Amino acid sequence: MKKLPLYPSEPVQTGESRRGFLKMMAQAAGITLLASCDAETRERFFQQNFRELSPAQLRRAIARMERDYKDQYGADVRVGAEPAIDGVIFAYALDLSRCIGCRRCVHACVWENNLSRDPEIHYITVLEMEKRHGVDLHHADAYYEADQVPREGHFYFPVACQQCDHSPCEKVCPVGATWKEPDGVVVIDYDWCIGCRYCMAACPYGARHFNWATPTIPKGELNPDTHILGNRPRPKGVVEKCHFCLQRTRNGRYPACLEVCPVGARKFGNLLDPDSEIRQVIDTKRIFVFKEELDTQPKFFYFYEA
Amino acid sequence: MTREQPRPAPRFTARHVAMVAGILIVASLPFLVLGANPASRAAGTATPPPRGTDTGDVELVELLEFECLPVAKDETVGEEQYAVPLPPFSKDVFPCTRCHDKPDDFNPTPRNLTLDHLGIKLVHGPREQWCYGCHNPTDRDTLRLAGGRTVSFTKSYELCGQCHGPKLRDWRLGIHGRRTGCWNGKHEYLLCVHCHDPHAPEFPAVAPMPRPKTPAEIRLDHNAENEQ
Repeated sequence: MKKLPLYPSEPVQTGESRRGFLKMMAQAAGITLLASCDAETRERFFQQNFRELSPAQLRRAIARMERDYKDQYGADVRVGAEPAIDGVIFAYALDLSRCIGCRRCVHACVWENNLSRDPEIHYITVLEMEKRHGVDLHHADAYYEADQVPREGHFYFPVACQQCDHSPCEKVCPVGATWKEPDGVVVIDYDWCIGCRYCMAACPYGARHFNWATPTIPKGELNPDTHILGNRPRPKGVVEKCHFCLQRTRNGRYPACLEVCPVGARKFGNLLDPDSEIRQVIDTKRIFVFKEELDTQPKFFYFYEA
Repeated sequence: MTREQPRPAPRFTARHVAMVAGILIVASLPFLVLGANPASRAAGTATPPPRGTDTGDVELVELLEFECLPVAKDETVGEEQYAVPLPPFSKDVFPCTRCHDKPDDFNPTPRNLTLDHLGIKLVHGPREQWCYGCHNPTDRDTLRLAGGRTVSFTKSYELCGQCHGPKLRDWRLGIHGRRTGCWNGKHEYLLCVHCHDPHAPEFPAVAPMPRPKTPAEIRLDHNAENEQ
């Protein structure tokens, strides 16, 4: 076997080389390109992950988004960036013995959170299950149709993001575009998401949805009250999911699905406040979490009225 | 009628009026849907039901109207001082003593009414139950508990709680019933009768809203777009 020389036979080039030349040319081309486009495009291109934005950068990013949405939808959209409230961890509870499967929550969520109408995205999936089988995904139908609900012998099991404390989606994201906020809500930076959909594969609840095409929202139906990590209109090619209506809940209001529920099956509140409705539910009802065996530690609790 | 509880502050009343209005509109929606769009009820399995947001906009507009005012934690109401909106009486029915003005003039025999209150069909509780199980025969503007104590219509939850104890307990805790408004505000209470018709409390079945598209339908849509 031929031995490789310890030193190159030719002296190392210190001046011009093909590689050096190409590098220089590429740099020059890049600088020219960046210099030729306006400051806004430049900033858009170099926008940092949401968690690393300085206050000034965040302000500029929000102003830019609001301009974009004005052009796109002709509406004065407010993009809020309210941070998590100190001493608050959000949690949700759902009374399975009350839910009648009317899907009001599904559609209130679509309107509130500017979900794409076509291709269709729903954050909430209502599963129709059979009473004789209990909570069993082998006997669950998300596409039930009926003249009237509830149907005899059935109960209804709405599933959306469970806002896990050990969120598998967050673990697998290769770019850190999704994370858990201090108030426990798992959010997505829509500008940082690369659309690899690992998180969708990791989520055991089917709670994450991908924008296969540019979302369509009819012009008059855009909800102009938005949050930067919540319901602002999404671009094509990113993943989205339930965020407990950040634009509402961080301003003290209830999520839209809760307010619309005609039977009062949904409960929401601050897990850290012993007097909150959610704590009263946890203290006085027999609650359970969905797919407990996976140790995802959801902040979404189900219970039966006893 | 004597009000037994302190009058709520004006702001509170206004908010409740808005709340009740919102709830009435939302509550009437199933009937609007049923009345206005019979096609959605008769949707077969082959074609998905029509996807419209005409009914939904009403709901959403109402929901977006709420203003949340931060309320200090220590303003919690005492156990017997629930500030609740006025009972939802039918039009021109209250005060009852306008017609029933003679306290001793009543017929204690259970029977079907033939002169008035014909719209009321009692589907609640055991068969022996009838008007005077809850209404006070000697003072029609009040209700009467099983033990003989009278309560005003604004405290009708005490009457309901005689049989539905666990529900009353949950209601007091703030975990029974619909919630609108603010998760960090003062607990707000509706009376039982704002949602449940006391004469026929069972909720009617409603038509469900459109189901999600199946993957096969999405694929069909996609192919149709490509062909165009």
